[in-house]
Amino acid sequence: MKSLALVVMLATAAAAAPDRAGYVARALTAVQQLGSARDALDAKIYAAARTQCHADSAAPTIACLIDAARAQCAGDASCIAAADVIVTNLRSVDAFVDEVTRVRLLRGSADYRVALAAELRRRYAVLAAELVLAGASDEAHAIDELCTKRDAAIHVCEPGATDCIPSLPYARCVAALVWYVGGAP
Amino acid sequence: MTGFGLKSASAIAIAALLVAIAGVRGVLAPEHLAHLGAPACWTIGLIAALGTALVMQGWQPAVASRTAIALQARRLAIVEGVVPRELPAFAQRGLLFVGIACVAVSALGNHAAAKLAALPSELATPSPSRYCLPKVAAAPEVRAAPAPEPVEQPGCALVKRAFQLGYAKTLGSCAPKLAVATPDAPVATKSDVCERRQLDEPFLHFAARRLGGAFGNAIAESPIARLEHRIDDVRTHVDYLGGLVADIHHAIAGSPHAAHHIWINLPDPHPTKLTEHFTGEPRCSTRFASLPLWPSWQAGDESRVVEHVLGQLLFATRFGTTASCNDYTIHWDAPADACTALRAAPSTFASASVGAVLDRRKRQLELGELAKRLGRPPPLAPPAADAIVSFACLSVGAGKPATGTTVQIAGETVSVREVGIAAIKPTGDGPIEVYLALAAMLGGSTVLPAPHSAAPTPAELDGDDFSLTRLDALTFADPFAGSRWPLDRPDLVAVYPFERHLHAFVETFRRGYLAQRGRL
Repeated sequence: MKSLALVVMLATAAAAAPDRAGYVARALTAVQQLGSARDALDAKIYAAARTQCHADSAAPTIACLIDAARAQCAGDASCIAAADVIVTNLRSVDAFVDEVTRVRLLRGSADYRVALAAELRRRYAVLAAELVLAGASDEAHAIDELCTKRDAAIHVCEPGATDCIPSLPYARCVAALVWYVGGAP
Repeated sequence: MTGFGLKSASAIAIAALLVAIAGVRGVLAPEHLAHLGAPACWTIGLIAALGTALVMQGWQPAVASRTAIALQARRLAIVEGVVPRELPAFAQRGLLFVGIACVAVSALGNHAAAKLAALPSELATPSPSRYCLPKVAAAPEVRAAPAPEPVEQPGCALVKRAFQLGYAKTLGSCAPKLAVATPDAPVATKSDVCERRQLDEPFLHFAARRLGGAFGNAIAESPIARLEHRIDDVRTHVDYLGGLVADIHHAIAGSPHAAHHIWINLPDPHPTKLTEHFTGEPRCSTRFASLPLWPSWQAGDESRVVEHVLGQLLFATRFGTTASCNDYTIHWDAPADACTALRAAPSTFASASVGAVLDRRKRQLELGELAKRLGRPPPLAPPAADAIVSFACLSVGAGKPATGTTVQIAGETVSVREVGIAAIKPTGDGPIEVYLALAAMLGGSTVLPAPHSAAPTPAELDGDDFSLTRLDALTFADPFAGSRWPLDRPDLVAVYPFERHLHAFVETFRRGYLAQRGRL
């Protein structure tokens, strides 16, 4: 009787736990399926964040960003999963690229957004190198596991270091890796 | 009855042991041996030959052993007075040669052999600390005139920008004007007079020169004035003899540099084990070396929670500069009213470490006065007594805001701070209460961060879509600013950005706390 109760308890707990790796897998597939439309969706959501959520003047609210992204996807579940990654990456720019570098990009490049995307891609690649070193075969599980545990490890980066990614919240870590891995040829 | 000679047996045993050690260390591996150069092989052979010859002088392999190993009643026994069988002398020599060669192979490599080979020439080279070596005449540095820099002209930035973008065809009066660059003038350098021995100077001449110099120095000042000055110096030192001796004693005895005592009315989370009575308890720095960020606790872990939070606040290296672990003593199983008793009779709570720290500080002040009297630059003044000694009490059972007062110990004012927590909840957001209470107790006050305007509500995180975007909102859910509800949800705890929030809190705490503390 006791063992039956234990099995029921474990089953209930497993059911209650969110399937994070499953969601990461869906997001990864969605980004991969976008193919060449990736950059277009990224640009649309970026523009919507600026026009509808006034992202230029202040940090946009999550509710506004979600509404703007939903409007772009028009109910397409796969598009929404990819848009989730794009919106999270939009919010995590400060975590990956420090202010000094952003100002340098703003002054030294003709198109700030393109330059920033290139810089972000370089930083995502450093994070992806950690994923490769983890050596798992299932990408979604590996991303989920790396990003769950990564925050607990110590990451001390020198100011302005381009080859060091500091501690990252789970969602930002996952979004960066999904965007990079999903966009890989 | 006959036996096997002890000399032969010893030669076999020694050789086998040394070969085995060399084999375990990997120096007999073919790759290692193949890597050895000719000088190294020659040196190893020389050392083995010399060593064997030296040992054989006492060994006398040609003379049979007086003791032998023999089988007696199916057991090995050492017997005397028999004529044992011995290995031939050359075999004994060979065995010892092999053993000593193994030691030499372990100790010597190509680098060591090269250093040994270079030793005679290094010894023959005159040392710069003993001889005046000729300075290598450096070629005069030819400094090219720096490239002329364009002179910045006020009011021309817009014109230049327009020119770069193609809106203007010429720069007009804003055209760059070059500053005239002048080559650097040669810098006169001051050369010191070398008073050491010249390379071609006979030793007697050098000795006479040094003696003459010493004599000249001796008569440069009046001997009476010098003696008086010396006597004054000695008298001043005698006046401060107690401080001088005590300072040396503190240095030799390794007196603590600070003493901060914390009394906690909870059981010791690491009761001393039987083995630790012999091996000693783990060092404080080892215990707090790698603290997990947010461990999962359960009921009964109250002491561990408190210890963990203390470690995070004071000693965790991930949050930057730490306090010195050895300066802190935690008194577990303390009475709930420890600080009341401390205020009533502070001297009874003043442990040996407190006395040693206060005495060490007093001696350092005395040495500062001595330096002043001798006309020497005084050493750095020690920190105030309340920065190097402090008392604090955490009582669990009755909630009480952090308060502070002072007591007098050995004529010094020392702070006493206490705080009370009604109950410690190890699960959910319970540890946050402990963080806040201990930070207030140690630091005196805690500046809590203001709640973030983007802090999410439970409803905002529970949508069906945009899971990552919703989880990212936890970045603004600072539990120290009041957003503690996510800590009660295990699904969110697994991905909660603890590092970000803890880092901000601990860093702010340490900025205030470490400024109040010091070390001798």
